[in-house]
Amino acid sequence: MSEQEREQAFFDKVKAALNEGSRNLDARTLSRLRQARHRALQADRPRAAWERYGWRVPAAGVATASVALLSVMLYVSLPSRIPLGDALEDADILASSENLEISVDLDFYTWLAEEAGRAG
Amino acid sequence: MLDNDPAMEQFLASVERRAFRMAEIATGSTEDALDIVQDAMFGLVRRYASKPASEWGALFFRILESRIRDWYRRTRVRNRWRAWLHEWRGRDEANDGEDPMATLADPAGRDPADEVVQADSIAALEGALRELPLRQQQAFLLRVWQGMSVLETAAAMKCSEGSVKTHYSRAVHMLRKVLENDGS
Repeated sequence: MSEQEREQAFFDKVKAALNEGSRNLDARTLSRLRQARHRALQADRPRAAWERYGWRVPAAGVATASVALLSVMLYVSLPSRIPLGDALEDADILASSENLEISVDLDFYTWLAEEAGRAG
Repeated sequence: MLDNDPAMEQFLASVERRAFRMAEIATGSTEDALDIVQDAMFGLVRRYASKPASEWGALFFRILESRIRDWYRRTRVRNRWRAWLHEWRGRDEANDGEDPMATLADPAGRDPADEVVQADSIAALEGALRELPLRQQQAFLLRVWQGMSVLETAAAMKCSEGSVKTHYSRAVHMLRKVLENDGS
């Protein structure tokens, strides 16, 4: 068997295993995927975070406030090994629930067009 | 977006299982994977439903990969704070804080080496995939499983085609080494 054939056989085996794994999802997971799909399809307008995540929003708010308070207390009371700049960035990451939402991605299309142009 | 847009529903139904498995392999968590997939679905429907259906695949997986990277970023932050707190409390729990985008294999805490030796080929493959750095894992799954071109994969991963080729090549090399030695 040539190297190319061996590589193809490897890919075939990998794909078969991955397909098998996705085919054998349990009923609960499949049901939740279906629910997620239906919720997404009903998202015909920008929704407030509380509509999508319900109780998790106030819970996230409390958690965020707690993290911020704990951070301040620790920095005030203890010598820190984490630079203040990193800590502020961390707080921003932990506090954000929506800032990771992808905006209308003009740069994606620009980039895609550039790449396609370069390839062509 | 219409509630019952059949084309979008059909598309989401066609990718949801793979998307879930990709997210689950990346995060090691069923719950987090479901959240990530749901976020990706929302992102596609809300932002890109008006785009041609032929572009949905690249867009959906781009959102999915972005969500997975966000998950890693948040996990890194949480781990750093946890390690710092443990250190402060005098426990011997170090965390070197390396960039998980490049090196973190499994933030869920399992040992991939243990998983690779499982007899079942699916489990062995998943274990080997989890052992890969995230970018290699993404490049491999998008190219091999999702059948994306180098250009499409680069768009989904928001990196250059050269980077995709490098990540993919390293992933293939490592997986073949691990799985063929394992006899899977």
